[in-house]
Amino acid sequence: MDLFWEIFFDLDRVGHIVAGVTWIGILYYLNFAQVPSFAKMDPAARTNAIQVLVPQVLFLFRWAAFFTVLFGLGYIIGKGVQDHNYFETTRFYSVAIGGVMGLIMAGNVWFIIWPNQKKVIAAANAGEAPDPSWARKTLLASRTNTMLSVPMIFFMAAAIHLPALWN
Amino acid sequence: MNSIEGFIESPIGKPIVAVLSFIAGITVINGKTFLESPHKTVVAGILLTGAAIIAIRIAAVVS
Repeated sequence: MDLFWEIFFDLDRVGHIVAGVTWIGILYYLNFAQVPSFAKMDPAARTNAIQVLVPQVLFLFRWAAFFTVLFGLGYIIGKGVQDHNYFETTRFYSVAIGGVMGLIMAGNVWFIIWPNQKKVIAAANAGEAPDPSWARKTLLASRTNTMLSVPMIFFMAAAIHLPALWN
Repeated sequence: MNSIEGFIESPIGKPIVAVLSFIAGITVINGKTFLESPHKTVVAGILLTGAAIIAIRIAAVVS
């Protein structure tokens, strides 16, 4: 049984880390490269990028967010099943704080950013001007995620590397 | 309407979107927010992290 859990947690960690790095990497690309560049681009080039580049970026972005949360929840549930005292450890306290931030961030991706970006992409494909409120809602949710990513990463790393935080 | 649009319009999805929208809009005052600047967003993230660390440290000492 111990071997089962060791293999489970090894694979779960790999999935969580790879998906998480992909997610946050794309989040930083969107905030620090794509959005500032789109503001300076020629309108025709920007429309073309929205039609071709943005759907691919958002596909990776939202599914990376989904699998990061899935593997993260799998880890917490697995730890709880394996060790009933896990929820009273300082390691869990750090993971829980980072996890709540991660859940808010994933909610922003799936329920605010993606639905509004779908409308922007549909407008670009139809040759229509997008409603400015779609971009505004996306920007606020995306920037909120960028702000939360800093403490989220800290607390996830602190779970292993800074147990003294809670002493 | 696909599953995401259906969910965010559902009785479960609406309050979730309302909470997320509140969190995302909490820094907006008079239509302006520091989140419009990517650099200020990072500074806010660092300050938020620092505030959380200080709060945990103080709580650990007090308790």
